[in-house]
Amino acid sequence: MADRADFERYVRQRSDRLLRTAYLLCRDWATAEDLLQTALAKAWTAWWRVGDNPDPYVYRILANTHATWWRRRWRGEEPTPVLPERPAHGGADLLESRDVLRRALDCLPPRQRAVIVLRYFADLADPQIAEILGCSPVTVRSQASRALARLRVDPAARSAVTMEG
Amino acid sequence: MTMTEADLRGFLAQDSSEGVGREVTVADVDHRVRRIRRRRLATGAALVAGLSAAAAVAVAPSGSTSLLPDDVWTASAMARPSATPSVAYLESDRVLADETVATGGRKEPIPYARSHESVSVSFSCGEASYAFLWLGGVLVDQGPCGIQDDHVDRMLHWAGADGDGTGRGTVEVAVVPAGSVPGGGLPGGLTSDEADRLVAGVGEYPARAHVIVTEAFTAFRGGRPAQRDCHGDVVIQGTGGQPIHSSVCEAVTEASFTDVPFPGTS
Repeated sequence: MADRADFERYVRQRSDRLLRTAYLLCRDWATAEDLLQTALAKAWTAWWRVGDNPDPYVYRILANTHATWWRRRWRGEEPTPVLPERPAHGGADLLESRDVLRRALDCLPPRQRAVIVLRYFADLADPQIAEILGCSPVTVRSQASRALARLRVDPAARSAVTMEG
Repeated sequence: MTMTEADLRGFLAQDSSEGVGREVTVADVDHRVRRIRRRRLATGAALVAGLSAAAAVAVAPSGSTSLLPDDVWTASAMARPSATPSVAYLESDRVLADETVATGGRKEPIPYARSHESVSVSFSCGEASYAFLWLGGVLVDQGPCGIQDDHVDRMLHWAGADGDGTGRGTVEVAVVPAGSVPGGGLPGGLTSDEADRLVAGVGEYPARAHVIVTEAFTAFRGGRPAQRDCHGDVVIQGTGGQPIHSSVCEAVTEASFTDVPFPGTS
């Protein structure tokens, strides 16, 4: 059974990466700290049964807690299905492009954002993501497909990722 | 050109690397655990009522009030309504029993050394289950335990008087697979006899569950049943003027941590 020393070691070794994951889910550093502290606190209370690889359990708590917060809290943002049209200048400034992409990601529903983050930042396979999110791998693929489509099809997002002429 | 998946990976990696200096430490997590426990275990009405009943806190066993801030004690109240719903408890960190349950479908006795009149019992499950908790032969709590179909991890948490003054106490616990309880235990849960029959009927099977029995003290008794709709932290001034920090109810965002309303009673 995992013990306190294991938990402390896990927090020391993984908190940086998990904090970045939390940030990508919620897009705010203060909220990310809050989210991760809550997730790790919940993980600690169930540490005896988490097993040798706590990551899936912690990811699951992160995703579920974030989804709950997203639904129940005013988030200070107004998601819109249509991003504002922005002029695409030749050789567009990279910082501006990143900002546009960031806002495009902000428009994704939490489930789709979680899939994108777990797949492209945490580098998890679809079956692992499915287990974490409590759905089927088919659902993960369809969520990812929709999210990627939105990122690519959206005119603002497209301009943001036009790196070369 | 349109973004590739590699571009997206690069963006996510770079975008999340800008939180320089930010970190979450073990101390941060410990603090959050204590905060959640307080919120989980304190019920708002009892504590609001406790503002006027602070003197009652003072009659709790020696040392309880002075030790409240964070490190040793957490304010506790029963997680579910019971025969005396407005009794609140102070839960200490003294663990009386800490046992793993490896077999479902049977009653597992968990003996513990009594040290005071009250105990707090936490029961968590490794699989989606329905759990029963007996104290002194009386069925005191039951409900979903473990990660359920809604992906919420539930546990039983009960606090109350523990018994007969013999110096020894026994908690009995049992788990059965989720779905084996008719109607999910609704509307009012099973009787003790029904629970006995159900557990016996399920039969033994490998399970993973965990029981922690902790010492607790009666803090105060109010006349109103507890409520859950409250927010924020409160500070109660003890009789000696010392602040007694506690929390008001379960935050909405932490509702899934525990403190799941007992079927039919919330």
